[in-house]
Amino acid sequence: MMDEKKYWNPIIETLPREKLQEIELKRFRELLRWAKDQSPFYKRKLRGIEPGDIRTMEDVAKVPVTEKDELRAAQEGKEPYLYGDLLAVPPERLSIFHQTSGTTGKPVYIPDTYESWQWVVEVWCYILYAAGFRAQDRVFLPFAYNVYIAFWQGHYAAEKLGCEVVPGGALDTQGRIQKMKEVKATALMNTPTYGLHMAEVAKEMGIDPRRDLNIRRMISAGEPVPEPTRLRLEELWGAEVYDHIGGTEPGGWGGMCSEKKGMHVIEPHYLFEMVDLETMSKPIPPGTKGVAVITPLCRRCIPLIRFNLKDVMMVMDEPCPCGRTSIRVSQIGGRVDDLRKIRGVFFTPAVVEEVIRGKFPEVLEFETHLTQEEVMPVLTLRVEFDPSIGEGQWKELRGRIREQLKIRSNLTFEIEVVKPGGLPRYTLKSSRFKDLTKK
Amino acid sequence: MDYNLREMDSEIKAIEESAKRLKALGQGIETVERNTEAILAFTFLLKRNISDLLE
Repeated sequence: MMDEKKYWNPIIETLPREKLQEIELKRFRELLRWAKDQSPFYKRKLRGIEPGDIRTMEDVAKVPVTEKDELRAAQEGKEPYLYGDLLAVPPERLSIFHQTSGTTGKPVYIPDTYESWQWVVEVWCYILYAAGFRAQDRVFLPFAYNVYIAFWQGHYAAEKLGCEVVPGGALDTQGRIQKMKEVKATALMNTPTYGLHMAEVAKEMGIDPRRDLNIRRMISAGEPVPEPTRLRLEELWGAEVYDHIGGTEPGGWGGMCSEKKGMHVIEPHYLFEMVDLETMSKPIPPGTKGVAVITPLCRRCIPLIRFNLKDVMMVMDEPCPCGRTSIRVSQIGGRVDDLRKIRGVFFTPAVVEEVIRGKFPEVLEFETHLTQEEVMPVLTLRVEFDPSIGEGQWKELRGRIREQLKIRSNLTFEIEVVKPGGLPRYTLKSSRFKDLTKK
Repeated sequence: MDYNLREMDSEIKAIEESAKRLKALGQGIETVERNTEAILAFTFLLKRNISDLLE
């Protein structure tokens, strides 16, 4: 019999907003106290901040934001080894290690105690349940099971939900597809890029994921899923595809419900704020683009207070028909780190993905290069077409792609066609934007 | 559906107290210490998910 329950926690997920905020403020004060007492990093950073004075969201905004570079500096060369001044518990209490991917610099090491890891997993239970994962599911994880947190949380959360978890670790893509077919997996967790790649490989194997596999539900992690990419995955797999948002430092902090319109913040386990792009400190109202700032409220091992996620987002104003009362956000502008001002226009690589995945199913893979020719910045989109697309069609396609990119971004792109298999495929985080102007 | 939060909260606290007592009784026995630590990790979550709503 199908499980008709909608919520992992029907009480918390439908609490009035004022009550959610009251709990969050109380937890924020407790976390500040804990961090000031136990973490040498925050003892310094929060000097002059009195936790008891934090009564409103305006008070919260007076607490300094934590940047990723500060976390690196607080760890490097400091004792206890690996975690340095960030650690707020005795090292013997640690039970699991993860690290960031290091794509924006030296990796940050994030450990958990048994207790804090169970909290990280619990939060993911909210995410999976909202995405419709249930005890009846046989969940396949095509994940490398390594030092990155990625799907470890998903693995243990699915197990806690009562799902049957199939770890597809040490297999190549073909092996994973065969295994999913063999065990009749009903649900899948992967990066959107790898979901597209698996569908491509399955096709080469003569397997149509829609027809020949049983995947009915998929959750994405590791990188943002622009709406056109999500819809393309749904089409390719014949499955309901949900996005989630999180990272190594804060854990998974938001996910899509059955409405698939934006992502619910897992409140009151997290305190979510949006600050404006210019000052990076002033709170902004719903419906305005800003940068997301997050505080995991119950992870005491390495406290994180007002962590700058550097993701450009917008809070959605209207209540969600699913009945959840938590803040809903849409991930609309990519990463602040990827934002470039080119010929006077703000450019984010997320725009390219929206155009390609939304309008050009003929494109299997793509990559954007930013170069400098004399004083002029040049954007080149390298595309790899499906092998079924004959060379005779390339010119027309290139013209249409250039036109659509111009409409969407107000910038002119050079379009270069790459031979089949000429562009990299990614299994974890994709890196489709290369700024080659940086020495 | 109505839930009796007070009763749930009181059961959570009872489990927590009981686990703490067991841990003290079994001090020096790894299996008792570690398994009660695990129970306490879950009572921590139950308190965050249920008990905190009462305050």
